[in-house]
Amino acid sequence: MMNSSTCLRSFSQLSLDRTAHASLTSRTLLAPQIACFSTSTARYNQKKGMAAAPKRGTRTLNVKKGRKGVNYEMGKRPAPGERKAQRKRIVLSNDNALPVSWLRDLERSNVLEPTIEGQMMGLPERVVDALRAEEAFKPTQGWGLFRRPATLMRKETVQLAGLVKEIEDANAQQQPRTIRRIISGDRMSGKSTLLLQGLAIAHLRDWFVINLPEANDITNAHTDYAPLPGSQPLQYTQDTYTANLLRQMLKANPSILESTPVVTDHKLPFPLPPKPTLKHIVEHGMANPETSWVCFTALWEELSQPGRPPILFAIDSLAHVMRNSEYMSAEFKPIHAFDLTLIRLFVDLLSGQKTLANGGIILGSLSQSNKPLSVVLDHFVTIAEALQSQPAIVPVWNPYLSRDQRVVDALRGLEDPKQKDFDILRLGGLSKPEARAVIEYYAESGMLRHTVNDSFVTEKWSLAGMGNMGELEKASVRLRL
Amino acid sequence: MPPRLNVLTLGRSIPYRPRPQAQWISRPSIGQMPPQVRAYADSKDPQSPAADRSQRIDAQPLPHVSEEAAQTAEITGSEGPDLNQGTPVEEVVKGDKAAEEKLPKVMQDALKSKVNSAPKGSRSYSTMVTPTDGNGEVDMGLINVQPSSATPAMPGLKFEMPTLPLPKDGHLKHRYDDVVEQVTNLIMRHGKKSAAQRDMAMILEQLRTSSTPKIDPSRPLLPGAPPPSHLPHNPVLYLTLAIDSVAPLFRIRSQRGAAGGGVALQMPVPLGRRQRRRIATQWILKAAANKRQTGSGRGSYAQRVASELIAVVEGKSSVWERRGAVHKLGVSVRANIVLPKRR
Amino acid sequence: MPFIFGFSFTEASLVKRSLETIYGVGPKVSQRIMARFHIHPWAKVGSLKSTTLLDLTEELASMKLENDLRRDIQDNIKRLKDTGTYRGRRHAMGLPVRGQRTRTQITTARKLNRTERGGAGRIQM
Repeated sequence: MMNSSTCLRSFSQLSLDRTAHASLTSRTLLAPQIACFSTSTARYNQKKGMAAAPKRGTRTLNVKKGRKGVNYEMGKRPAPGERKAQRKRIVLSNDNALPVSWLRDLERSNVLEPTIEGQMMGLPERVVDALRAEEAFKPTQGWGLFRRPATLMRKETVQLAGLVKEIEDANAQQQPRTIRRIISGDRMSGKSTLLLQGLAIAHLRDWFVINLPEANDITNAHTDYAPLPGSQPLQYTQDTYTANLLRQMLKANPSILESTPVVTDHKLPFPLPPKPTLKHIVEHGMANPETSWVCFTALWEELSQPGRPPILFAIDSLAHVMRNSEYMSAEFKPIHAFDLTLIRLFVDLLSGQKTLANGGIILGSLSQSNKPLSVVLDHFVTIAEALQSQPAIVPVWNPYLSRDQRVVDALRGLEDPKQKDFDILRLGGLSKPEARAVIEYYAESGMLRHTVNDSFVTEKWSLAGMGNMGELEKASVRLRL
Repeated sequence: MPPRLNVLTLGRSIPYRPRPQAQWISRPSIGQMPPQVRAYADSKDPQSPAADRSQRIDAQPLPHVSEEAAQTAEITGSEGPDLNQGTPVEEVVKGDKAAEEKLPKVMQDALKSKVNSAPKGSRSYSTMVTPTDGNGEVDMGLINVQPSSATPAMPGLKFEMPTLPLPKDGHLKHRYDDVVEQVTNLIMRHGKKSAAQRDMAMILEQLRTSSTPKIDPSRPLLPGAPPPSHLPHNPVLYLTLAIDSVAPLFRIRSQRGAAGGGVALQMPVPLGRRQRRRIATQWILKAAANKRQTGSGRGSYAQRVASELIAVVEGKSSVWERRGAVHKLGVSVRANIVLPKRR
Repeated sequence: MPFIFGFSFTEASLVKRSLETIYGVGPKVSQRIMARFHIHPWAKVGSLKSTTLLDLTEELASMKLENDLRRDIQDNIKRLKDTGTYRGRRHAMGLPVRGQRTRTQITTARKLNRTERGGAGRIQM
């Protein structure tokens, strides 16, 4: 009954209001009728315009703009580039983590052994320095949690080591081979880490290693570019980037560069000291970016001479290469990434147009988190995956999609099952013994506080989406589930 | 008789068509007992291999239009289309070898291909990431649960009783520690819990990789705290210790009118555990927010909070003074507490 | 302090931003000019060679910019006003010229539509 009384009262109140403001009648009549009931009983008990004043002493809403009263700690402002350096900083050791007693190091003698499959192996100091120099470690990877860098030799790593062995065997028989592989796999399945392992293996076998750490950095137009005179069609050099790459190469492969003498005359635009080594060419290119590309080509020719070590040429996030770059030509047309000299060299090697004179591996890794749309690349990767798993059924190209013919020409080899040298390396989940090895390493390092038994491993393995390496790390070591 | 719905008959005569199944829920219960524990993704029918999803009832194509119409008509009680009229020849001669041989070549081919090939609309290759095990079944990796043959001891139970106590993180929504959960919620702004959880994880990561804190003896931590060298190994404990050590025991309540003359009477009010932690966390977060940002990117807030937590444990934080001030005031105003009279 | 087109810029400033301070050079024009001389979008003024700076200045000198452009536009408006057209009148009154409503939202017109369009600029006309 209470409802009906309030209803009546509010209704009468409404009519009262209306009579009080007679002048407004025409407007109020036009306004939509208010429902004659209300769920709030207290509303009309107060007189209008007499909202209760806030109690004395109580706080009212403070809508001051700005953040007055907050006094920041004053101190030295960070220098330009310091904040970014901190963001990109790579930590490779954690003093709190316990050293793992049974951890063996990778060595020149044991990297190519198939027996190390499924074991955690430490990276030796020399290799770590080289990998750090060529920016193979990424800040998002969990290196900073453990005493020192160690990796799991998973099935695919051993496959990669097998390729290295094949190349060396072919070299021993004076028949150099160039094997090309594209690493594909799900998100966080360890593609960049596999690339890193490949680099580590190559370093241990005393190969010459060139790593382009991030393809995005080459094509996103953040470094200067200049047309290469005399090239047809016009190509573009990236002097600062190449100079930096030379610096990284020198840091990563110091012994090869220092010990190898220059044997051919390259007609360099600068004089070389007597009895020059490759290091002199590289150092000149580092110091004078405008000559860096000339130095790079001279170095490449030197490495192509007989008797020089095999080469591992690697790139991460390959999809950035398979499209137009952000650079603009003089006619204000986008420059295709293939017209940048460094990438041209890589793509020629990847597609098989050029081969390495002393053999070697061309390795490209895809990325699933920072990846521009490249329909052609995706298509060829799915084709190659289908060829590996189910050769009878291979996806066909959707004829209604436009495609980049240059990319198609570069990747055509993936379609051809006879080309064993050009293929993809598909990364799946870990097997359970592999997962167990990793989890035992986590536990031994003190980063995982749990007894490792079969049910625990199986639980984490399935939580990690059937052994996805990154998810496994997330599920067992990281503190966010 | 209503005219037959045969619009699609021509196109439909070639694909595989199963017999109409009016009842597909009930299954014959003869044979082996189904296992008691079944993963959600497993097939209901243990006979059919789990990997071959084409055999499942839900992967099979819908019945023919007219058959469907006939079923509907049967349910509604009206007269549906006559299925015998105009039924495709293949079905009529099905099983009759002699008649099959006399069929046109197109139909014979269709019959042959139907026997071997998978039905259309299902992939013949697996899209699974992980290879299946030898039996063709997907190994879901679920813990090797043996289906218990014995019936549960307690009547009315379908499964065995779980072993008690239940694991602390066994519940999806309570997988984090209490303190971690509370601090996460206090970090959260604008309801963005995921961002708060990310920050929380980074804070704990920072604590885990930080060096061993040096304890200031004038700012003692909670009694019974582990030695400082153990703290980085257990970041949750580190966080809990920092917060609980600096948490005030009470708050000061100002009661208006109790002192007379418009002056508020202050008195200490004891706090519960959660309340204490809340206040301490708020102090710490405030102090961290007032620090100057050193890095850029996502981790910088977490880094500041972590360094403040470390400062708390090392006794360098300004939060200790705040706590000291509250406690000092509390001691001076404890005379204002009016206790109920004893009888 | 490198000079482009007679203006000095600090070395740390972006070439793109520097070019766009010139009246008559917007985002599109600056992109085209920079592409023409193979300057990447994030280049700083300090990193340019002196020859490139001279090239830039030469290129800009061949364009109608700054006071020439201002004068051109102001002459156009003046012609409209002198012939007594409606558009000229609207320009003089600082109101929308092309038949927009004037009840609300004419801040852009108030800002732009005037006989002295473009202001006095960095160099007095």
